Amino acid sequence: MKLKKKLMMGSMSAAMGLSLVAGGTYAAFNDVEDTSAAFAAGTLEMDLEQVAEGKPFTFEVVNLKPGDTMTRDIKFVNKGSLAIKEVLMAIENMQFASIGTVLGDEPQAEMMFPGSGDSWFDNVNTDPLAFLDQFRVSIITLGAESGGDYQKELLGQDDNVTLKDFYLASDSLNSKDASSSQINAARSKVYDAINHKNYIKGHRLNVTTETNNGWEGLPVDPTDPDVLRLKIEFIDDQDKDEYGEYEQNIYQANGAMLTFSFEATQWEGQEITEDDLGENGYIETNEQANNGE
Amino acid sequence: MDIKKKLGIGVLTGALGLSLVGGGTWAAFNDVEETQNLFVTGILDLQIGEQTTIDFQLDNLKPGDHWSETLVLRNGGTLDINQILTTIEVGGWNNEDALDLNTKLWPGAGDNELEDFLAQFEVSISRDGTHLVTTTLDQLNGITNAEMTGTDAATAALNPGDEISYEVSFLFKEVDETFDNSRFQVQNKYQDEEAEISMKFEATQMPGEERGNDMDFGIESNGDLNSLVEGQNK
Repeated sequence: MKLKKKLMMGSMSAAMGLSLVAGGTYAAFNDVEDTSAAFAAGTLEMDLEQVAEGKPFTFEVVNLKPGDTMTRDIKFVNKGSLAIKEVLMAIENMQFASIGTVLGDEPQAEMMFPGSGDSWFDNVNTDPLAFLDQFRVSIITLGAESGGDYQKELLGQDDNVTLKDFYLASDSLNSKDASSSQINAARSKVYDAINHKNYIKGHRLNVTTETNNGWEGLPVDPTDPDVLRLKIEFIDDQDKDEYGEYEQNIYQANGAMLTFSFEATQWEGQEITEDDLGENGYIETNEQANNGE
Repeated sequence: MDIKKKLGIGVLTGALGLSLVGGGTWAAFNDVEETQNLFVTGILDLQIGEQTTIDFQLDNLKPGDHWSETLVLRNGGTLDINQILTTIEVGGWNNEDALDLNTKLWPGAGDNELEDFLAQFEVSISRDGTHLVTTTLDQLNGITNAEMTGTDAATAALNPGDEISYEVSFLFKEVDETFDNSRFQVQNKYQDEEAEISMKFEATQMPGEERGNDMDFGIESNGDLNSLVEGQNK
């Protein structure tokens, strides 16, 4: 406060003091100081996108046959104001249906489903896990958008890991119809198969690239979407049963629906200092990988 | 006007007339005494330093982030400050559901009240290095004229020139809790929400008291009142 202002206030206070004293009260002088502070939370939000028009990132395929392969690219885009540290993939849920369970008794099935007179129909698979075991997850590639050192292949063709293994190994919201020893066996199989163990987070996979620099995860600044490539193939098994029919015939007219989840996580909290702030107190380093460290 | 009052005025006028006549007589010897009486008020001035106040503005916070502020309250006046009364009010808040949890989960999942949002912020207050209290912002909101120095009505909290330093730490709490049967963290409902904290500090004077003289005006100031008043502005 300037000297002049203070003096004026002093004399004003004096005048006020007198009149109030005359009024009989003693607590007449006071001084009031105000402060004001503001704070706002950011947003952590991720979208899944196609890498190009007409290239869906979900698997929605019917009428599959052994040997078919499906390759999907999923693009993770940061839509919020906070940097994303990891994107954790899990298989949350599985629903299964088989022609055997859907159609019920054979005469009706024969009418509706011409192939049902064949021997496989009597033995049609009703075991969800056995069906999932027919699908090999042959490629998991992270950072598929860039190549070079940033591209990481977590799993290859030779690892022979199936959807059954992934489903059982995955941390899931929903309980599974499997024993704990089955689950543990699947977990160690998947663990052994994954090329870069640091991408295994609990029983989920981090599907963004860990680069230990400003491009790690999905920062807002700089803009860095990551692409995950998943390739799944319907295993082509040449084994035949005693009647000369392929053993895989029993998987005809089976269907499964899997729910994959991708959880974007925040970076650890940090101490906010002047160095972190841009205009209007905006915490710029919260847009960056590892708090801008 | 009745006759009695009229007579009274006549008598008064007569008396005045006499005394005035007396003033006009020869006056050879007399004596006159004067007293100088001085009343200078003090200044009650609570000061908050520009670098030592709670005036942060932060945007784009995430759970786990924390920051510290130093609040220095200084007696910049000439009068003792008796108590410092604090009033805290939070405003400028709106419910936000940035992730649209009301649709993705269930109606109401993304909603919260101001008090819920404020409860996410832990506040730890120390005075001159001694920890006083750890609480949350919702507990501080609405405090009105709370005495913060711990002094009674007869004790000075802050003498002229003295200061109290408060260290105030804020933490956006990180609560690892998900909605039932969901991966979504419950704290997601606070994304994109903001609030403003207004704080008011009122310094009060000591009770009035019987005062003796502080000085000999003539000797100490050469009779210059201006310099005395200006001297209060320390």
